[in-house]
Amino acid sequence: MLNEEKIRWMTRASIYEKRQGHTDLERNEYFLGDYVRLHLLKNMIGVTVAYILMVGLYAVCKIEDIFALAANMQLMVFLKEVLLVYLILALIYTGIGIIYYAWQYQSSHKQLKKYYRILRHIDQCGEKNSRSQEDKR
Amino acid sequence: MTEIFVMRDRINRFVKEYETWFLIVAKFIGMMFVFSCVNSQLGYFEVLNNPMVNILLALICSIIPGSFSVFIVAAVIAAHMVKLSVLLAVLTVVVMLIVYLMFLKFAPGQSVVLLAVPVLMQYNLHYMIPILAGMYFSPYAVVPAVIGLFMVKFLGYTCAAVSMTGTGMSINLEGATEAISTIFGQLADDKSIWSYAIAAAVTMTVVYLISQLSFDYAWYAAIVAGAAAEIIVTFFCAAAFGTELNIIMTNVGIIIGTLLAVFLQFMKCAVDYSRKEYIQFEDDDYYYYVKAVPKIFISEPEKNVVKMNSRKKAFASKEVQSSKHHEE
Repeated sequence: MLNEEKIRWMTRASIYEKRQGHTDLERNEYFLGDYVRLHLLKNMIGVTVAYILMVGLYAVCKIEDIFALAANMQLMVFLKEVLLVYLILALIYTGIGIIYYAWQYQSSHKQLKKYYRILRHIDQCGEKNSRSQEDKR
Repeated sequence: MTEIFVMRDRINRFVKEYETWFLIVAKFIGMMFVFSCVNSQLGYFEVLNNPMVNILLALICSIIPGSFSVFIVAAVIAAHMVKLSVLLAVLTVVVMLIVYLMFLKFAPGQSVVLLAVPVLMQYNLHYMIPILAGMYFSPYAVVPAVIGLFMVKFLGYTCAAVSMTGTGMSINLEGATEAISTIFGQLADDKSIWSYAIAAAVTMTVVYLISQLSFDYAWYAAIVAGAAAEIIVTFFCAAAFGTELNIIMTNVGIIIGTLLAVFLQFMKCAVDYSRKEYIQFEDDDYYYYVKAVPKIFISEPEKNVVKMNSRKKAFASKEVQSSKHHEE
């Protein structure tokens, strides 16, 4: 005899697994701190590459000014400014990253809680089913 | 009213039954629009202008995830730009890479917003995006929306700067320097990007925040409030920045966006607030204060098929039999 309630819960669980469950379970393998730190590191690599590209574009645009600075021995001042802007950018991105990835982790955690509740329901349905079968015997 | 709900139920069932195919077809049509938009704006690489190539690319994009589709569109744009000028192609790839690394990493699954803006911009209807994006994504969807607009403007200015760099494989470094300065100067002066960014950010935030509230008809209120906010902010920004605005098409875009959002929300969820209930219960970990609103469900009226002919036949055969009996 098919247990309709169990099938309903199992369908719900498999829909979640198919759509978002995989990502959420992957995130749940980390602690919140580790997850945020790992993604911040990846993020910083991306931001650094993007910043290098931006500085490259700027340097192409202002190549004559940069040569003039080099001739006046003021290249270090320019490099310090570039580094300062990078630090500010990194700081902003770290802040945004902490908020974003923590929020991402928390929302996954919430979804997983619901998922585990569904699994508990499936377990209970299974227990009920086996009990009723034993009673029949 | 009952008929509307019956129709809604019928459409929902039909869509759910063929969900996979609907998604593939919708993606295919959407990507056809995207590639035709790219080709009409750029169109320097003749092979890519071939409709069969577009159909093939759209078919591929319809079965792969949205983020990969963005990469294919970026590759098509880069190919067109290579044909126009190698230097401008390098610049385009670098800018796309910067945009991806700096912003798009935070917007997974929002590639539809990024691709929809350039397509709708052709018809001046891109103002419908913020309302829909606010409904289905977080306010962060403002980033892909603005990047879509930015890329259209950027490619427009880049194509115009080809006279400085020279076409094809010619490499004119002095011209390239001048072109880059000109392009970024024009982008910085283009206040319409800022105007759209502010309007989109305000709209998405309003829609998102109001839709999270728990009063009755919060979703519909959020859509209407978002539309009102978008109209006000768009006109205010246009006046403040002194940008040109197509008033009719802007309003048409916002109205279409509102109607579409209302329709989609109605299809997604129709509830009867007059029968709502507040319940409270607990489990091992939590107390739950739940507001339960029943869904409106109207089943299709059953059709009773009355077979008139068969009854007539039966009746006629009975009459024949009875007449035979009488004759006997």
